[in-house]
Amino acid sequence: MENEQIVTRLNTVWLGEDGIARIIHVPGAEVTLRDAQETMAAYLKLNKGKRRPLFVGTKSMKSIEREARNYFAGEEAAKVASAVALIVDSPVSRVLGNFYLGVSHPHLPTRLFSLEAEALEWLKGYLE
Amino acid sequence: MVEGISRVNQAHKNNGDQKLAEMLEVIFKYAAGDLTARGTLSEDDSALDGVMAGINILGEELQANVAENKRAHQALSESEALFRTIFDSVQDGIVLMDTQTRGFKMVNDSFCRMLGYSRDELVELRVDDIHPEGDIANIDRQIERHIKREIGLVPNLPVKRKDGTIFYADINSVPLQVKGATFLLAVFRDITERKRAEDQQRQVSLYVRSLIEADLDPLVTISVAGKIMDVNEAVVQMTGVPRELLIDSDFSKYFTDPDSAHTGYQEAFAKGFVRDIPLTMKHVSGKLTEVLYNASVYRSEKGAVAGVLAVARDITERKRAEQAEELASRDGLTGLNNHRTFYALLKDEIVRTERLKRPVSLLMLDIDYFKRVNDTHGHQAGDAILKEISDLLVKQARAVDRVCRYGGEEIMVILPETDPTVAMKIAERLRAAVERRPFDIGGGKTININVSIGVATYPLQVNSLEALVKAADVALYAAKQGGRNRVCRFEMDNAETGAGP
Repeated sequence: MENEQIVTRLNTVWLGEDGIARIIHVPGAEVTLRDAQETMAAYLKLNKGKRRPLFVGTKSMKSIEREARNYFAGEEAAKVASAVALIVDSPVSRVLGNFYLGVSHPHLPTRLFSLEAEALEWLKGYLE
Repeated sequence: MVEGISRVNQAHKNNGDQKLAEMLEVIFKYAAGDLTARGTLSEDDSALDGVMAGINILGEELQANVAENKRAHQALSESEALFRTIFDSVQDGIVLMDTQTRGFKMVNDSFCRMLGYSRDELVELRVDDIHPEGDIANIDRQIERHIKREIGLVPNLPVKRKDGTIFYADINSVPLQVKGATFLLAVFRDITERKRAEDQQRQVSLYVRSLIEADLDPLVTISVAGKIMDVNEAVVQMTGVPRELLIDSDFSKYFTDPDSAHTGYQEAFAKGFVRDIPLTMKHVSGKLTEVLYNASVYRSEKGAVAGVLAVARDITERKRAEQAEELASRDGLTGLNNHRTFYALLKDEIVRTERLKRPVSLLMLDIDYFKRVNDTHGHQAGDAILKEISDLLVKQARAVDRVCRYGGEEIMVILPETDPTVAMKIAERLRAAVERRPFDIGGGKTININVSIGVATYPLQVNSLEALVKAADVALYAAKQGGRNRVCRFEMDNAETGAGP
């Protein structure tokens, strides 16, 4: 059975059979607050109110504006997601990820990973 | 091949230099205050792009922090301005005093106005400078107590203005700890106007009290509940009860008839006043004082009845005088008006006659053979007859007629507004009443007696009081001469018999 997926302007959101939600950004994404809100709406639509661990692919992401970072790090996100694994596989995405952790102080458990397998393994610990 | 690799390396090098230059440019802009500057990232997503991304984020965060600080600073400035406006617009003087130096750290406009100093002058002064020298020791003690929170308010403290004049203030203060130092935040309320009003009120109270005490009659204010609220010294004297025991006691218990006192009090409430209710006040010694009770309600500012103001006028002297007057005007044996009163009454009647142009008639009545009664039955019997005949005449006469003992067994009856014809009829009625009446002379015995009556009328027959009396006497003589037990009208030439037995 093919899982339902929602494609937004900058990413694709779908729910894996392992119960982990995934958000994969297009290369070179420059994320604004509006994009962040659109992504959150897509995620909420898919998970049907259940808190899930979230796998976020930021490959080749170029930037994410401050308001968008604070939105993802805020209490609203913590209510609908149990943990976030950020895949950082480029110098830029790694810098963005580190700033996100160090400056935005997300309200839910968040870690940076280079390898997808490690990230998914860690997220399994947050399945509810 | 090598050359190709070298060109690629050279291109990378040129590209890297370019990125570094852009980074430095962005950093220099930040240093110059332009936090909106951002670097561009290349498609190759190199390490330098990562650094550039970090610099961009730093720029964003710095820009956000600066904006937040600006907002916070703006809010603080507005808050300070609002505080200053409120602080200065308060009517009371507010001062923040350093408890170590006793100097003023902060004062508001009202405090400056109160003391006549500028703000700059006041922050150079100490507490000692704004109070009279003689009060400094006391002020210091009060400050220490304020610091220990033993008191919050010190009322009525003298405060010295810049020009040396003194005003009085209630000072409310609270100690504050700021960065390890103790301050007193004090609020000065100028009570000059209040003191003036209180003084005026005190003067009015003294005036009212002196008015109350100046009244020699007992004066009392009674509450709606019937309790005494205030009394003057006369009440204390008349009851023998100390003022403190009179206050708040039931006013009616100081009267011999509390029910009547209560009735009067309730009537005052109903009508707004009562006048001249006769009551008797009791002294603790048992002495009684007759009074006339007058009362009026008094009202609150809103018009509601607040109580009754009552005066009990001592009428002992008046009654004594009335009794003395009564004794002086009455005949001791018969109770009739005496000789002196007869002339006074007749004189008044003559005057009235002149005014109204209506005649007055006079009857002179004499008991026939009265000497014989005395000689035969004794003087006590004579006195009894005189008393009884007097009572009979009073009963038989009209209400307006005046019966007077003229002397011995002679009795006068003044008949106001009576012409000779009516006078003759009245005289005959009196004569007949005496004739019909058996008189008790004691010992179970009764006798019959008769009277002779002379009648004269002013001004138809005579033109003066003396002439009227003499005319009645002449007529009486004629009645005696005519055989007694009869009525004779005065005639100028001779007495005429009006009626016979």
